[in-house]
Amino acid sequence: MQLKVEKLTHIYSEGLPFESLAMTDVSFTMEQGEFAALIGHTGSGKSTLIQHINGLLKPTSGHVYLDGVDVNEKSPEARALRRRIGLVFQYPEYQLFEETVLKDVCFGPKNLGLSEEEAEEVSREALALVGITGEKLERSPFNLSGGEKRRVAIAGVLAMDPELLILDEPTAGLDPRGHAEILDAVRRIREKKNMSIIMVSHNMDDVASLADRVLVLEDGRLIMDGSPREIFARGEELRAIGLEIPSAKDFMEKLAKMPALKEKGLEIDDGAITIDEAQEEILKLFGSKA
Amino acid sequence: MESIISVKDLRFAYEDEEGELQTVLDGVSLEIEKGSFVAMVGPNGSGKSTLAKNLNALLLPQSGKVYADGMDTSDDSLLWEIRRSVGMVFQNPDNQLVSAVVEDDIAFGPENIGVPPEEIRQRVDSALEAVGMSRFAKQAPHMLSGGQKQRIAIAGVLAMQPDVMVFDEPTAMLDPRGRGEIMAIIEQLHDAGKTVILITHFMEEAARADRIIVLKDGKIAADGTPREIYSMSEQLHGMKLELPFAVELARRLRAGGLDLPADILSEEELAEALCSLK
Repeated sequence: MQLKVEKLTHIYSEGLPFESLAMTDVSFTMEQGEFAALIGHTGSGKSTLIQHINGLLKPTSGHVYLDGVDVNEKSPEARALRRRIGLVFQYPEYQLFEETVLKDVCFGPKNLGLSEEEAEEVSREALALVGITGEKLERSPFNLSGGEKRRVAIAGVLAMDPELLILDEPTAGLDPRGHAEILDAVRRIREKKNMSIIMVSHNMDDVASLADRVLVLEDGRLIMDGSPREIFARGEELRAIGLEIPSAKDFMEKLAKMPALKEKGLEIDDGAITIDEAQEEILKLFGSKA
Repeated sequence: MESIISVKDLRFAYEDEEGELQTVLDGVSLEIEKGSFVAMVGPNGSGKSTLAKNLNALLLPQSGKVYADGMDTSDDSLLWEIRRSVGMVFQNPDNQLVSAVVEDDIAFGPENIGVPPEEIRQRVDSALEAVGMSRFAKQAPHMLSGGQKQRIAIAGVLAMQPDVMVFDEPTAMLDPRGRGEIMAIIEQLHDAGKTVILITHFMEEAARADRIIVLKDGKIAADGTPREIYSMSEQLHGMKLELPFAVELARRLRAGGLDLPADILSEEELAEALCSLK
């Protein structure tokens, strides 16, 4: 499914004294299978943008198209397309409610009209994709760890078979282990399904290791759009709007500026954005000499 | 050394779903020095939060003893004085705010223990100032950002004038900006003489303490300065603990054959060490 956002502008409380411009002239296109990270500090418009993409908010002006159809049309076609978007909210585990993990995930597909057996089948598949299998399916979702609960909630959305998956800060508030489990689940979703993914994140290390495109919002405007390498090469501009850059990139820039390196005539490429890339680059430079 | 918290052979177990006892703390003993800044780290289920809740009698030892500023936490008659002396800040700021106006929220604790009104005013003002939130005194807490709410929660604890402040993953739900704000306040409180105990999953935060205690399976697995602890990077990695970026990269580079010192703690140190390789 192609997503096209065209000159999107949104004004909250238009005409009232506390009217505010939340989104200004945002345009971009995403093709099927792309993985974009959406970054920007709190209040930059990330949530407003997401809510427009699945029709929860209507633009003041501009359009959101899915496969060329305006999501805000009242046609059955637009309605069907909106259903192809799976939105995983922040802290989605607060929305778990069923007696068992499997029943919780089945709720969505059953609502779409699938039979009991069909719903169970797609739910088991979705749960396996996020790494929840075996006896855990019959456990109460409330007795799982934080990372597991969140993966169950993500499976609940995957079981609806979306073409575009939107993850709003999927790792917020988790411990390092839960965090790593979510990232693994997202990687598996990526490999096994040809889904487009938009991930909102404050964690630049996650963005650098997962996304193939980064959209930067500031004050309701889309101010940058490019590959992680291109975006994170603009560290000064990102810091100026209160964003961080990946730890690896930050370190490589510091290392490249060390006068002692220049004295030795060593030249280091500071483009690495993940720890794996930094490790490789440093070993390439120093390993042969050691 | 004058210790303000003293934990002696503390044991604690919870009952699980099937009614079986799960040991969470398995004989923990430690002393915390007055005025120090101690970080407690450990994987989930290591007992960090249970230990923290035992420090001000939110939980009581099933065996062993905990003394807060010399007071035995199992002595019922000392409960209020213990809670005043050892204040706690939790993960979710939304669960810690009770009033519709910021300054009322901060006055709530002192009012409850019968502090005279003039003094309450003073305490509220200085607590707000300490967390840099004076200009929000008349606002509604729900209109504030996560980091700001957490600052109000800290001010509420400060207004009780505690000797020890225990922070139980205070930044876990905040964005990087909020996280930075809270860490700056924690360091200021320590500089101003408070004893600070920080429970965290973030090793970069723990690196800012004077001392790190690593808990694993209900026992103390390591206890030392950040430099001592991070020089055990292979063991920490084995415990599935996240290492600060520079420590982790140095660990990988050593494994890749580079001759780097074992106690690298910061990016600056790693950069220096790389430059002095031949």
